Amino acid sequence: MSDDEVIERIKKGDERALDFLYKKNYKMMTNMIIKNNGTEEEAKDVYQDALIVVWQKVMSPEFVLSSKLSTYLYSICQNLWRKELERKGRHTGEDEIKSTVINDTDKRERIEVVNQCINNMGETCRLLLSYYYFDEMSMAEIAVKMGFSNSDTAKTKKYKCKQELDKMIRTLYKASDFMD
Amino acid sequence: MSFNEENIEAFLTGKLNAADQLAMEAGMKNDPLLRSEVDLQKDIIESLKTNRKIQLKNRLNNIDVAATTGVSSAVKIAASFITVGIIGAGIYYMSVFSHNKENTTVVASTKISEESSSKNTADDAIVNNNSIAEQTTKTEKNSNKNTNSVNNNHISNVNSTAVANVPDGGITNEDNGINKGSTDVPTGEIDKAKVSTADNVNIDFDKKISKLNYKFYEGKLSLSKTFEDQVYDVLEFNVNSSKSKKFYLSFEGKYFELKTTSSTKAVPLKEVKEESILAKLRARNKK
Repeated sequence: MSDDEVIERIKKGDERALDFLYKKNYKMMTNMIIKNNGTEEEAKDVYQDALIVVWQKVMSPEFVLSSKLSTYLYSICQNLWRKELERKGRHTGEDEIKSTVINDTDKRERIEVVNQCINNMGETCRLLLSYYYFDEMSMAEIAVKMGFSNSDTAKTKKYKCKQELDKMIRTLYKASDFMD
Repeated sequence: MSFNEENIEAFLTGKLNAADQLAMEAGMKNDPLLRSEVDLQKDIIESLKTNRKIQLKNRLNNIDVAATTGVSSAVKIAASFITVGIIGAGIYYMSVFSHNKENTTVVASTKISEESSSKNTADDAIVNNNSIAEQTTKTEKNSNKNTNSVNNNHISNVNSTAVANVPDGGITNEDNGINKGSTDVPTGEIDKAKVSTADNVNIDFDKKISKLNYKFYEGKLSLSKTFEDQVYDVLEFNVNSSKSKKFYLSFEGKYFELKTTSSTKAVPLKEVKEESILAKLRARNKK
């Protein structure tokens, strides 16, 4: 598959193109991280993150590829690994971690509720909202990907799914509030 | 601008223009209710994104990269493949001949040979009947022939476990466990089905290969691995419900599933981790 083909497929939200890229560049990207003080596990994790960043970037309508796709992926991988190394360097002292954890207790609790509701949602709704918020696909693209008749249907469906999710969260969130 | 749902979402997804963006921020400062609503919506959107990211990462984690990295080229060294045609112990039912012949036809064959020299696919003569009873067939490493005759006239349903002990020379397995299920055979009985392997095989292992790879193609199982002097077993199970067979490789106390879906590419063996299956395999292997 050429770069253009891969990009075209990613733009349509075809995850198989992601699989293809992943396999094709696995060795090169993970080697780069391993050679730069990374473990195999870290290498895999960061490489996956980098690939998902590429996925999101390619999805956006403004995306223009100015180099080879693998070069682009490599640079993102490098950046993420650099950030990770910095983060690890900073966090050798425990103090910083503690303070952020305490501040986030409330938020964590809320996110737990939200995640629970996301998991309780139907598959169609979950995918639709994922495509909309994460992949930032347009309603027309979502309609094609999910087999809706047109973008209006996708839009209505998205609205309903989001309403349903909000309602679930509010109900559960209030319930958990009373528990305190 | 009203601080409605739509605008909150637009604010959080960066779709508001600069002026509205500022208005929203100002509104949040003055109205704690609006602020908490925006916070909640922000968490929802963030969680949806995280959820999708996890989904994609899981997808990537399930991709077998080993096959596309270093190992693959090594696997391609065909010399390291041994072909173990565990065609199991199928039983050919030929009652027509039962009066004329003492020996009925070929029952089963297990073949070990180099892939290059072996063109044996599933023997045509073999008929695997529905599995009903459990019969165990042990491999003996004692014959130059690949086939063996079974002295039996009324065989119809046999379930078998073929065990191939490779490549330690000269080991003869006692026939143990054979016949134990014969009472369960409803329409016939079997004395024993001896399956032989060839012992004059030159097995050429590639020392570089340390990973277990296998492929199952056209009824032939190919393994790549230098087993040195260690014994490995291939266990064959009949699955009554689906009338299919399942194969497992046992080596160094571990069990690996051999998927029979045909593949022209060698793939690494997957270790069986599920306790219930392991228990069955261990029990079977002890017999």
